[in-house]
Amino acid sequence: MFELIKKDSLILSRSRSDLTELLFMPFILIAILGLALGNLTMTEFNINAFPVAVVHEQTTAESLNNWESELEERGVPSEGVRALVAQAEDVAPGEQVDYLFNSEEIQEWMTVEEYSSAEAAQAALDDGDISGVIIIPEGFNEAVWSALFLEEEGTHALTLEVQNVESVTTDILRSVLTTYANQFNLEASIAIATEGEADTANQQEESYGEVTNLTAADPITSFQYYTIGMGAMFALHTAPALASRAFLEKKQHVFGRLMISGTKPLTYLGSKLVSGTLITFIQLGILFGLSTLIFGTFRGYALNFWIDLSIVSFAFSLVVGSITSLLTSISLYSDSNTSSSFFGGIIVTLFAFIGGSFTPVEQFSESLRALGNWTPNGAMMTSYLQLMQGFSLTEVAPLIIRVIGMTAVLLVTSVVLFPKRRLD
Amino acid sequence: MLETKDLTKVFKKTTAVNQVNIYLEKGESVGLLGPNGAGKSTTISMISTLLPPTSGEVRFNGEDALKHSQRLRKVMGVVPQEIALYEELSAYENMRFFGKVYGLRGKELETRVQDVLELIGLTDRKKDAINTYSGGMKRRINIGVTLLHEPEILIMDEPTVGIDPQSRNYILDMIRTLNREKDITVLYTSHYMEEVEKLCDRVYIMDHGEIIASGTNEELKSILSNEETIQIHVHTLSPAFRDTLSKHGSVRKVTEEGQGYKVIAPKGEDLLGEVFELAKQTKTKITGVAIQTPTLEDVFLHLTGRTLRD
Repeated sequence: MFELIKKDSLILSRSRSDLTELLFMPFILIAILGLALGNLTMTEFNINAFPVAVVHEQTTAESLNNWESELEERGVPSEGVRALVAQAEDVAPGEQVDYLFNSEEIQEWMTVEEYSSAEAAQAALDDGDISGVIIIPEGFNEAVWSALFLEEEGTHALTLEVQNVESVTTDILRSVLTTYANQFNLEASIAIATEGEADTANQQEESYGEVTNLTAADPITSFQYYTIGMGAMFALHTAPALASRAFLEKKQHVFGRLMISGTKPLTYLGSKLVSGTLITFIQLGILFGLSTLIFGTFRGYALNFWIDLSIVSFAFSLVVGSITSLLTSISLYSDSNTSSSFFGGIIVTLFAFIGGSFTPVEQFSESLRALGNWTPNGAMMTSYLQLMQGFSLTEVAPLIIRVIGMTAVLLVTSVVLFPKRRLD
Repeated sequence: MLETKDLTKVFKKTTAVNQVNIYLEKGESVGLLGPNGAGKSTTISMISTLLPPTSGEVRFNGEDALKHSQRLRKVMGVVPQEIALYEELSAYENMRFFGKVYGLRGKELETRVQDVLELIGLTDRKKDAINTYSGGMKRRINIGVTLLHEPEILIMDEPTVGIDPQSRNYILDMIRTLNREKDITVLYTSHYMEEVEKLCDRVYIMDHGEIIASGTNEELKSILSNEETIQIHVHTLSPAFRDTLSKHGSVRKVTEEGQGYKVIAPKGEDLLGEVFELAKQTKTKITGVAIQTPTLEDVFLHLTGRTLRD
């Protein structure tokens, strides 16, 4: 198999038309689009200031009254009640949500509007006026206080309603809320452990450290956006380029010659998978590397980012490799190159649009983004964008797993379709 | 050594090959002669184990070659009609690639590559990409790649199509050397009867998917032992002259060939005098007359009513 892979790489490297298509074209487009849209950043036309609603089903004063009554009903002495209510006033979880969402850093990302009822917010969400709703339910504050001060177990939770579970905005909201919950728990624990001696106000300055990091990350530049956009699109072109060569091998009886030499049909198909994967990985490496070298696209990112970027790129390369296998199987099965031409001409363009290679599709509709995330390039673009925004590999793992799932399905289909009897 | 039994291939409703029975003995050179579309390439594909037959079988040393394809593939080299090579790569790179695919490694691979390059006369151009080669050179490297693993059986599908006479002669001499000096069994398909006549010990004539005659050159030509071929050259082709000749009771067949007509007639008929008379009647000027020894082309014409190049 190694010889077959080496041969594919060698032939591709000698083909000016393929090199132009797979490396020169995307690089030129990165340069043109990056320079033309040089003043724009992702935050300006994508993530910046998406509208979010916050609904308090109960005010803090009502919560305090309720809790006070509850403590009295339980027979807590009045001194104890006063002390606990005083502590509760310092640690009001509902108010801290407001504090967080009205902070300067968060407002760079989203505009927060308070709604009077969950129904009104849901209607606005359904109409597409807002991207998400955070509901602080009735009894939430009391449940948190009971858990904190009385060490009781409670299950009250914030509710997050979103337009589209797979959008970048949802990821951001989820991340902010998770960080809030973790940070709140930490702060409260410290407050209890120090019996209120720790300076809560100072901690609040530091409390959303992760959120601060998230928002402090540089906005995605047009060079970054189009480097991954064009990389994802032109990487897809590798599959039809290699599959067309496979068809030519059959047409010119090279395939037959290989079969007579003892090469097993599935070894040949496997070589197309590996060639497609390796060539795509190298192609992405060259594009990202050159773009960084010339335009400074990913300059300054830490080693971990590059490792994560490589892992995502490899997963994407795998799916391109499996598309190469599938197109090879179809071409050999149908004795025609139509499938590769159709994929290279129509499907790649369609995928590139839906996946967001030309422009962020969220600006058209969230459902288009959701659909885009079901294309290999769209899923990978979202992963790349999230990595650039400071998300960890674990957080983008669902999309990577999805792409690996696509790889498995495409591979099985290609094996089923591959002609095993007629080899001439 | 290698034989087919009632080999048949049907594509949808078209029978491309119909009950073909051929055999090859070790060291033989066998020709498969027929016009384009006769079913030669399909037959070759089935014998090469690349195309499963609709019915019938291919046997190699008595074994079902389709069931045990690897045994046959190991000792067989197939030269397809197309240039089955990577044209972006050099001759040397192609040779090394296919050599490795055949399992050759290290010094053995290098020696075989150099030997074959020497044999096909391309040592000087080994580093040039195939797409810079002439048609004849491409044909030679196409054959050369097949010889790397020293096959016992060489199956060649029209290996000289579209090349100049000098390259053709080079290739034919090479094949003859391989057959006679290296004892390689050769199955050679062509629609050039001169090639088959020159190279092959035995010939199968194929038309419309069927074997219509077989035997040695002499056996096949003996089909025409009672006939002779008269080649008449004329100043200007005359349909009237042709019609008159066709209607003559002693003429079996008349075909137009170049600047004249080929006439097949029973041996012993004193036809020449009458030919001149008919030419005079139709005001046709004869510029030459030759009585030819029958060729395989004549045999094919006799059997099918068509020429090999029709």
